[in-house]
Order: sequence, then structure tokens, then C-alpha cells
Amino acid sequence: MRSLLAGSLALLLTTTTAFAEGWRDKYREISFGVKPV
Amino acid sequence: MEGFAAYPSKKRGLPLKIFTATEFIGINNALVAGQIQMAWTSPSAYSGSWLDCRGCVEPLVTAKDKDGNLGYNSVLIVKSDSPYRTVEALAGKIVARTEPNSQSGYLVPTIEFAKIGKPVETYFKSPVSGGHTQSVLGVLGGTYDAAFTWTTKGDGYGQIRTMIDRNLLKRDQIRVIWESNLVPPPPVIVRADLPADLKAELTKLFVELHKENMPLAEAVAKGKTQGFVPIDHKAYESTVEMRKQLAAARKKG
Repeated sequence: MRSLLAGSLALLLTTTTAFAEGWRDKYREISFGVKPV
Repeated sequence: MEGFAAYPSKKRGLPLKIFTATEFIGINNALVAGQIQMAWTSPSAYSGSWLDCRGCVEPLVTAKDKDGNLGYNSVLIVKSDSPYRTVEALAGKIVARTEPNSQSGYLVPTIEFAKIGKPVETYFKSPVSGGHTQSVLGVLGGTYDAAFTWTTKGDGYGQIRTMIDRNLLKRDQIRVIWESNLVPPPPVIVRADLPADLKAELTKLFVELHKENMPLAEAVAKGKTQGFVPIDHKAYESTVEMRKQLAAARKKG
């Protein structure tokens, strides 16, 4: 029971973090295209 | 522009990498393919990509000019010491356009001159220079009798301002002999499928830039500006229509 609870908590934490910083996980860097002058 | 690369990382913890291509088509194709996420492009190139990929890109922000206006003019320039003072005087002469995805250097003159019965392709000899800088330098050097480029009110920002600031041009070396109506301003565009909160972060970054670092805002805008403001697709509906007209004319021709 204890391990099931711990597992659920871990899953909840992982999901919450991923939701809060979802785009930061996917886009660690933004590439910006420009024309040189 | 390289100076801007460090700003988002410092300000929002979002590293930015600058990607360059010599023509708008290269930048836009990279955006459509997902190789880059954001681009500073022309209204025409944006509209072409929007049509090609059915809305996979969208405008994020644009720069106001030094007086707070949005939009710019396509202009036809000649050398000040040339004899050309009217469009009619240039009939049969060498008048350069820039590249097919340029709004002011290609799309607007092509559509507008066709409307007044002076199609650029036949009324002039009209080579494609490859870009605005090449066009202006071509006029100064005598390769072209005239060329289409762009500016904003009082040359606040745009090609003429950029070249003056870089000591490539003195304003009294050229004369403007035709000016279009105001056309939508160049947008910073993003892939439409970017998360909404990332788009909001990027918008905020640009919109606040002039308050935090005006020289950097002016470097990004390529001239004097009152700052960046959000903009949406509606502003470019006229350009989308022009692209459709151009595509239809090419099919006919």
C-alpha cells in the first residue's frame, strides 16, 4: 500500500512538473531566423 | 542581431539561437519544416508560407516606427544625379526588384504597377537583385537605373535607414520617385503549433524590449522605433490577397 501511494505521488509530481514547464522541456532553445543586412 | 541572442536567456532563461539565410524563402522554409521556431520575415514571405502550409505559421509582433505608426512604404529610388524624375522616364530602363518573397521589393511593385498599366516585367527591364542591399548598391554603382526598396516615414527604419547607419549610403545620394500606399509591417512570426504560453513568453520579451533596452530594440527593428507590439493575421489579409493575385497571374502567363 505504502509503495502504491509513493508511486502515485511520484507520478503526480512528474505530471505536475511536466505540465508547468512543458514547453521548456520541449524547447530548450528557440531558433530565430533572420536575414543578414 | 547577435546582441539580441543573449537577451532572452538572461531575461527569461530561454536560450535563443540566431539562424540566418540570405533570402526570406530559406528562413520561411526552415520555419515551416520545424527546424526553427521563430522568424523575422517579410509580410509577403509570411503570407506565402501561410498559404502554402495552410496556416502553420502566425504573426507574433511587429515594430512601430519612430512616430508610433505601423506599416511602411515600398519606394522606387534613383540616383540623385540621374535624369530620372518620373516613372515614365524610366520606361525601358533597368529597374531592379529584390527577390520574389519580398513585399516591398517585389510583390507590391509587381501588383501596383500592373494595376496602372505599367507591368514591371515589360514596362522596364527588371532583373532580380537578390536583396535590398544589392538593389540600393546597384543603383549607387550604376548597375541599375532604379530599384524598389522600402522605408518608413522620415526614413525612421527600413532599408534606407539601415544603410545610412552602416555608412553604406548618404541620404542625398538617392531620390525617391514613387511611393506605395502604406503596407503591413514586417512581422516576427512563429510556428502556430508552439504552446500558447511559449508564444506569450516570446511576445512579452519583444513588447518589453524597448522599455528595458532601447538600443537593442532599435538593433532588432533595424532603426528608430517606439517598440514592438503584438500583431495578428488580420493585418496581413491584404498581402495574402496580393500573393493569390500574383500566383494567378503567373499561372495565366
